[in-house]
Amino acid sequence: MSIGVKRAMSDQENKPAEVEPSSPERPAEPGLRDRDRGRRRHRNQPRHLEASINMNELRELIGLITENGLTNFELEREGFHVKVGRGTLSEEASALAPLLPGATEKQFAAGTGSSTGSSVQSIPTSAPPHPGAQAEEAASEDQDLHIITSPIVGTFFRSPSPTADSFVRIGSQVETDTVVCIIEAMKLMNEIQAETTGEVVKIYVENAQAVEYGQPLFGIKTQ
Amino acid sequence: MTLLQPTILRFASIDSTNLEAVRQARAGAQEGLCIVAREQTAGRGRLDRSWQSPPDAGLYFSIVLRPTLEMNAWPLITLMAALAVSDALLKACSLRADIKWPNDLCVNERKLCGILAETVETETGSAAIVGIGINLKANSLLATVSDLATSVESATAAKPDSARVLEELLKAIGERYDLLQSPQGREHTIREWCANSSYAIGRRVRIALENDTFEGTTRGLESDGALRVETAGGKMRLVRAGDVTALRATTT
Repeated sequence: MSIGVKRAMSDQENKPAEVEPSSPERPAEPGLRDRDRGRRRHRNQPRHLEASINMNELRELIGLITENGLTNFELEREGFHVKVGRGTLSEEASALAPLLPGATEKQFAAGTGSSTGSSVQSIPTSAPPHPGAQAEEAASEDQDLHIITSPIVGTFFRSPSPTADSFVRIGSQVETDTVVCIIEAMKLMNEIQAETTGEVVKIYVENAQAVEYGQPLFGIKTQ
Repeated sequence: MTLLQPTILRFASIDSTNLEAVRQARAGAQEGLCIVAREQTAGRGRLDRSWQSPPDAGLYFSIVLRPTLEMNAWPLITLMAALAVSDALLKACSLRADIKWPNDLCVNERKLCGILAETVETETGSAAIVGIGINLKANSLLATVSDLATSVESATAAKPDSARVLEELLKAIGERYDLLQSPQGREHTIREWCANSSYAIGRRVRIALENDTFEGTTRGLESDGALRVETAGGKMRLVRAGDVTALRATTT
């Protein structure tokens, strides 16, 4: 059983959303918002998660992703895989990850590259769902990323001031204590550290964007 | 008696009391360490905006806190700090200042104290650094901010006693901080903030965010200190960042 927000392959950056529910009729997953991986002061245990998602939750998920300006979101557990993407690329992502329309890591339906809105497709996976099993972090695949999530509700800043350089960029190497961003709330500037060693391969949010508790901020390819 | 035991490090001149407090916290400073400087050469506010800090013209102060609060309550530290400054100015200077969301102290809409708080991760755990800059002397402000800023001396027509302000500030922070960390401390802090701010309820405001500006009427605070603002369309927006400006009251 695994849960992980996986690295979206560069060649899929511009695809519409794809989803692979193994069992669409399964009862609702209660905690879409509770995807905090637990860090800093709140090292939460992975929560109980059911291996499915219904259409309402999917809509809510897409709403959250659109609202928050995310371009890619991917969630995988045993027997269940959801991946939602939007057409807008961050400039760094587009610069470093040119589109390769033919190549994909999975048998996703061909994307149209449409830059408007999100769409969803379903493909069953072979692994059976294990509702009730405890979620664990996926560690077996080398594409699995360490996800830095927001510890609080606030505003995401990539640099210490509007004119300063970003703390990190796609491709930056980070150490455990590297400051990757600031989340501001009520004029408390929260310094967020990488808490792992590796390379920044995903930045899920835009500068000055409002972020929710537990929202993914960065994907770090650990070494 | 409060649980917070302040230790003061004094500097004639320093880049920024917050930067020094961050350095000290990273080096393992305990809760209650205070940095006080007569002058800051690189005083700064939110998003690295500069804070004018000429010699002996203001109180330039930072304190290291190591709260036991849950992370989502840490933003209340900045509201707590504003209340503490309000207490101190009342006691030391008989000045009743207004609190503009979330933590500016103002008299007649002019700012006389700014607070910059930041968290740092240190080997002995997470720390919050609270920096407080109070304009004390009347002629200390450059013309560029004279329309927006004021000083304790201007507001009270009396020379403030800097040592007395610091003394009362330390006491007030001790009390307010203990209160915040006590059971029901969050609710209490929110209530107290609302009681000491004209911005809490029914105030017409303009909110300037990084990439959006809107107007509305304030409707109190959320439990994390976010300002509720009802827009003309009746939508409630929660403000956790940005700059708040008071608009003239309408007759409606």
